[in-house]
Amino acid sequence: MEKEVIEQYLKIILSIGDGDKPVKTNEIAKAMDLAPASVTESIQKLADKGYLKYEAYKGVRLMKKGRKIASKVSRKHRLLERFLSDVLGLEPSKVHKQACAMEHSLTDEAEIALCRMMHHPDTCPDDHKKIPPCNLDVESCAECRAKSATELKAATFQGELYQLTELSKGDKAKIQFIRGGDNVVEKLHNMGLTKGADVQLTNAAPFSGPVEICVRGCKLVLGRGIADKIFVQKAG
Amino acid sequence: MECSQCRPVEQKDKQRRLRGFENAVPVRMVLVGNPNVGRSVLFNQLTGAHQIIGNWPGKAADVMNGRLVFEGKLIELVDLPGTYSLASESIEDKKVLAFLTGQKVDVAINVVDSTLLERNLALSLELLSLDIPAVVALNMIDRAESQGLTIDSASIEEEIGVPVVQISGLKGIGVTELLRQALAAAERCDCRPRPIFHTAPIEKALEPLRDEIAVAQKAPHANHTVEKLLLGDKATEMLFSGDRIDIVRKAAAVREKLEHDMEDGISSIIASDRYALAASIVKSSTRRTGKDVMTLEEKIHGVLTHKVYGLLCLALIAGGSFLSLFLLGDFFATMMVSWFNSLHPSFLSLFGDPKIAEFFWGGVLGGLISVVSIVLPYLIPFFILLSILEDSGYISRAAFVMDNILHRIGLHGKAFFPLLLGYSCNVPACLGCRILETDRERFLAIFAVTLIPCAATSIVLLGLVGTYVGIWWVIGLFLLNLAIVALLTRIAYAILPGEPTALIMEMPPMRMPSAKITLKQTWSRVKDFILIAVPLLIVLGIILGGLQYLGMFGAISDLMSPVTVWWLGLPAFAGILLIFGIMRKELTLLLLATVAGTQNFGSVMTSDQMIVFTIVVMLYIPCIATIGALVKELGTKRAAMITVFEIVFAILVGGIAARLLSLF
Repeated sequence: MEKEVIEQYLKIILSIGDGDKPVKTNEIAKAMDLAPASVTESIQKLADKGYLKYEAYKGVRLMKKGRKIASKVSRKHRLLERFLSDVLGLEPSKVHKQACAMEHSLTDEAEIALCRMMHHPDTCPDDHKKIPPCNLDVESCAECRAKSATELKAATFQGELYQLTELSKGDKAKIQFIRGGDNVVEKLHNMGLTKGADVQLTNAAPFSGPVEICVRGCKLVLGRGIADKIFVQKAG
Repeated sequence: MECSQCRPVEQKDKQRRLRGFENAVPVRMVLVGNPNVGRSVLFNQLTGAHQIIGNWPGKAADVMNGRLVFEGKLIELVDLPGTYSLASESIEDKKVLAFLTGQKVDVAINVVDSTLLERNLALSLELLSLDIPAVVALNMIDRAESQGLTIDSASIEEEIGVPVVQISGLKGIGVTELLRQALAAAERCDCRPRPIFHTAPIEKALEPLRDEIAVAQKAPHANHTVEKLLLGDKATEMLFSGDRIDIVRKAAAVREKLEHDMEDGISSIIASDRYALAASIVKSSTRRTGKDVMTLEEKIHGVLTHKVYGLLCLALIAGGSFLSLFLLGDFFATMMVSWFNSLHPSFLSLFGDPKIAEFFWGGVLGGLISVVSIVLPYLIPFFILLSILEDSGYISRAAFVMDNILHRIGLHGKAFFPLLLGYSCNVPACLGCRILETDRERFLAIFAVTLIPCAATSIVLLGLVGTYVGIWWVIGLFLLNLAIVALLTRIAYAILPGEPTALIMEMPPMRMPSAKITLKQTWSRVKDFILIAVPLLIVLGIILGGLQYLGMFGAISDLMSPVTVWWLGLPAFAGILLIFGIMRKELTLLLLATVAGTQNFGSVMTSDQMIVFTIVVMLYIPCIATIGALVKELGTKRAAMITVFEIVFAILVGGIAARLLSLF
């Protein structure tokens, strides 16, 4: 299988399954505009290579290896969409197709440069899905801006990152990275949310409202907007 | 508790004891601490003031002042707003730092929540970097003990080098000892820089810098200045911009090295460092006994913030409050009105001339009677309820559940408190909007608050539409108002420049509301209301009574009739009511009797007219006190903008409603 095809499959599974949910093969077929039979065949191949897990009737679930590639490609795809619509002024309806064609050849270096130039956008322009975080081992976007490209390359982070809102009730994690403007980041630091701090998600409000977390022995409520910007590494 | 004999400072003879100290220079003690650690309770305990206490962060947004005499010394107590850090950029935090570094402070009392020691001590460490005598008060020690937490204050004292006293502001435990220690610290006036609090690697990096700053003597609080320079604070860098610019450069070099070595941003490095130290102090000085079981408090919290039950509880509590207030208020108001009416004939018989007797009854006494018989029956239960909701911590749970919905109309979960407060009175609600962080959020919340019907407006709603048209129309009008608030706020959200900010809020613990605090708070709110309302009502009553006596109503009403009669379809006398309603909105109802010359409003207005009139009253203008609050919070220009907009908008909506109603 070509790299491009693998990336395409993984990206689509991530997008349909919203991260963790199992995805049916016919959903994938529909999204890729392919026959279900050929999709099942490809899925089997991907499962053999350890990118995902496939159980008949239940669906497809990304494995760690596949998830990493998928979120990288999604990130490139959505950053490109932002670039095409915001900078080049293409119509939002056209950017998806264009980005699909470009995402596989975009280097990591160009990806970081894109992210910096557009001031670290949160969502893509066409369907407002979240742009996954980069895998740089930096603590904030300010730090990324301050460092040179070579320094960043050296500091590539190897773990798997989750958004705080992706945790389930009761999950424990370590803060790895906070995306956003300096004021918000500073405020969170002052309340004890610093790199390496242990957090536990204790509650989530209805209608995808705020989340309640426990950090340094005290309970804090964070709006979705903020909680989405906090990236953590799951404990255990 | 080892000091059970310590009693709260006696308040009864406070006035007497303050006498003879008129010319004394007071010892100034400043209360500093995180939000919601009980500074206000301690402040009230010490000074006997009635500052509003609630169980949610951010009520005490203003600097409070009080005086007391202790062991023959006059003490001035200042309660600063709650803060998480002295280094942050928010308005409150900057105010705290400016006060501590810019004003005369004899001793800082750092109030600490014993149950959240780690987070609270992080601020203590920051505070101690200022060269101000300080004492740490471990507040809510009774609560910590009931959670099985034993704190060795001597060990903390040893670590941080300032006196540490265990207290409970609510019960008055340890307060005398705290004052004694604070006075002693102020007298020692130990303003030398303390051994600084950083972990070893950072301490090592900072050392050369600190010596240089001490030598340069450009700024007091050398330890604090070092940190500010390290963080790249522009104002601090300016201090060294002349001949000692080299210090700024050196600080920048230290910053870069630290950031490089620790692979982290400087503000995170410093915050992490402080928290690490706080955690190690907590670890060595506290012991937790008892098992980690799910307490009743946690169970209740779980239900109130649950996806389904939480919303259900919110609906039940909000609906139940509204209904019980309506029923209670109605019951007492009816009782009081009939009682006053029974006095009416005997009062008239006191005067020879019935016209003069009416002038006194309706004009001079009218204001007083209306407050006692109509306003208070609604207001007192409302304030009691609000106080219970605040004190129990429920309001924060409601904010948690409501954040997303408020977000949709462009507001913040935190705006839920001011909005709810707005239903009692717009004035404290506007002031309460200070808990929001950015100017933009504040403006939006204040704007929404001014559109909310306050208790006074609700009285008009209930008294007029509720009594003569029906309760369903009252509910309908409340819903219409809610829709208007949502729509206008959303539009303002879209028009206003700037970036929205998201919710960051501390979840306060649930606790049993205390009857003492509830009553105290209700009394202080009712008292404020009476002090403003009664004199105003008496003066207005006299003016109105005089105008009526002279037969001037016709001329004024004629002047406004194009708007009131032609566009709104109201009786001509409505004009004068709307003018007086600017003073206080309930006057529109209370003076209706005077102006229309009857207590039976049904005989002078049709149902449609009542509805239109109420809509206009509900929307048309914030009362004069609210306009005052708007000017204070937003400046004259924006206050005028809101006021003019709301007058035009109310007349517009009222006219449309009049035309729609006439179709049926």
